[in-house]
Amino acid sequence: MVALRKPDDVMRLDRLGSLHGSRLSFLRILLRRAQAEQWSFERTAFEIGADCTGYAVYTAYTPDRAYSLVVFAHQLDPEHRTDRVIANAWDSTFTLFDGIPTDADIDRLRCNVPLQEAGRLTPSELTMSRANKSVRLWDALVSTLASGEQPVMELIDETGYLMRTTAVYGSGKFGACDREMILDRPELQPAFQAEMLTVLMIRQFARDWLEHEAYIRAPHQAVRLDETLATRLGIGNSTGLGMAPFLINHPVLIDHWMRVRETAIAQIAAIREVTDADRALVMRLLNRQRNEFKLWQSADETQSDAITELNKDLGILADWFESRPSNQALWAEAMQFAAASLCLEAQEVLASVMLEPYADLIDSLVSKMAVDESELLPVNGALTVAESIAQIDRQYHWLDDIHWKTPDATALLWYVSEEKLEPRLGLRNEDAFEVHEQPLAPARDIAAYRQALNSWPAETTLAEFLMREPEHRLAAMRVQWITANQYGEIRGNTIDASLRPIDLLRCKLSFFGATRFDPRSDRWLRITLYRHAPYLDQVAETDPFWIYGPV
Amino acid sequence: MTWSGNELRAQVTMASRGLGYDWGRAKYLGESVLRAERHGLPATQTFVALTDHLDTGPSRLSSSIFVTGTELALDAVDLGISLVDHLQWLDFEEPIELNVIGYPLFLGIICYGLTGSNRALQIETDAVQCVVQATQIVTARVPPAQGTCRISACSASKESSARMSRFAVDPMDAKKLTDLASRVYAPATEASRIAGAGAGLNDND
Repeated sequence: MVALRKPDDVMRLDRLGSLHGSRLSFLRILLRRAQAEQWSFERTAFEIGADCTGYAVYTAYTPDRAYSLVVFAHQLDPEHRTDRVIANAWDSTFTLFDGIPTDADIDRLRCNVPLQEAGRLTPSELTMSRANKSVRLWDALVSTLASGEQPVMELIDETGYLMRTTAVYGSGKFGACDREMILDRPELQPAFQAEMLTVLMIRQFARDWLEHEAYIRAPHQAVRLDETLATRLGIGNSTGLGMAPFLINHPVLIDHWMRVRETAIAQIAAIREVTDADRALVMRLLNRQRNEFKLWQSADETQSDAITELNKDLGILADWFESRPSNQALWAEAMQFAAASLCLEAQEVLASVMLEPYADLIDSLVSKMAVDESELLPVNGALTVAESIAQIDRQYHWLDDIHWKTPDATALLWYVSEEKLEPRLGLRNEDAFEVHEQPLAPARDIAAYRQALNSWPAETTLAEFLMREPEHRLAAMRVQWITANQYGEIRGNTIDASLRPIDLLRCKLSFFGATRFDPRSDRWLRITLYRHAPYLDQVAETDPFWIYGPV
Repeated sequence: MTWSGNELRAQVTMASRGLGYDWGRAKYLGESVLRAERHGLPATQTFVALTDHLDTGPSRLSSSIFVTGTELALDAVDLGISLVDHLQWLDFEEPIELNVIGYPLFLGIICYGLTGSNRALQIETDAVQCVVQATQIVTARVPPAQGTCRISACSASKESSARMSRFAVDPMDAKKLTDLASRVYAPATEASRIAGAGAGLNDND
């Protein structure tokens, strides 16, 4: 096998901010399983009235269980429509119910789910979510469908979604079922599968709700949205700083995600003789990707420039493939060419696309992406100071490049506001104070830990050290985790003045399978999930490469 | 109202931090309380009862007490976490005696400390005998809040006991945890509201 790319290169913030989805993305894992196991879906209730409010239930039937999306549709005053966590009202609210809800369940959920964070869930609920309409597109489509017409494709593509989720909570939040209680279910073992199922069914509801409103407006004239156009609509998502701490707080899990992706890339790069069919498939998918990227727009100058460069570089990559007749070590040489000649975004697109023909090699790796975090070890206090320093020096040599005495190096501070516990990023001692700082600066904390260790005799045990200097316990534990999970640490300073938190968000969202990354500032972005995906009645027979757009 | 395990762990972690512990020990306490509660021990109540008495500064213990034992009554947090740090080289072939304040919480900390190992420790008082492993805490009765215990090595059980998935937290205890946790959060200000998350307050598109 070709050697894996080094963690020091892969875990740079700029590369993490350039990642794209792949076969290993969570929404594709879900749809593959749904196809393989022939899940069926049913809209079991649609009690939405003439005022377009009410509730609906969509049920997914797996071979052994049923999961139901319970939807509450509301009327929302436009001035209250915000995607921030601090919002108190939404166009629609959701929960994923474990099984098929009874009327009593619906009544209970009606009293809680619309309140979101202020409500309470039970172990019967796996997720909780909410979504707002893209009002401009929504209103335009309702009007068009109500008049018996179909919208133009450009209008659909410009936004790309009817509704945006603004949070999808899982894993025990607000009283919901703990993830560790459902880990024995194969369909929920890979990360975020309950959340991905939730969003898949929300997408169906968004379309149904739109068509319902058009029908209510003109019962004798309204038409349903054309299937081809509807497929181009995903579900939007607004993602802010709340997602960034996840990448820092779950280093072992992130290591597993990144390590599996890198293992997959290395396995494919190691193929000595690529078949003509596999080469042709990758060429076709790259071409479909390029067509899709031509529709990818961002108001963010940095992202807009990156998209322009990406499109140019994918053209260069296509020319490179054209000029290379041999299939021998094709993928390894393509990766080498990309690393030497193309932008980071293009390198990562190639890395993702070249995995596509190799389901038999890649898809089984998914089982290695999950981690039971309850099994993560506490500090091994038997290690000596000398051994601990050696661990740091092996894994964190990059800390030497950070000049901690410069004000910029510690300019930022992560904190949580008491206002709905929203994670925020502020200027140290201006917006918030150290007493409120969250432990989201591992680079600084491990540098301080290293310095503290220096003043102790080399043979001192960590147990003794931590009794006297307990403030370094979290750093000590992290160093021990990272020693065995090297892809779990971001090689960068997460409190530097130059930090672009959206790089952290992009990494996680790429593993979800998000597309059309659209930064709205350096702290939040909009993305799209499930654009070009099948609707619920077509899951079984869809093109496995749907995410690349139409053929 | 019952809490999920995730909520219990998170709230105890935040409360511990709010109380003054560093983030590392706060994390240990969140994990430990959850493990004890999963096996029916009132660790949340024990932790809340201790909060007015805990010293969150550096430990005053020395490693030797884990060889010799001590009659001095010591709080479960300092004693438990320090003991866990020493577990790698303590075989407990010679039992030691410790006087623990906050016994149910102490058992949770030991359970967390055994994570990843196949070891089992017998921890007994005059009234109750417990066997602690990474995966379970087996005890016939709820142990007392304080007492002298004797720790020795024992055989690990291959059978696992039932684990609780929901936790009924006493409202007064819940309030205490919430009050402590709230110390971690920054006050809501208009400037923070606008700039902190970097997003707009109105997102119509």
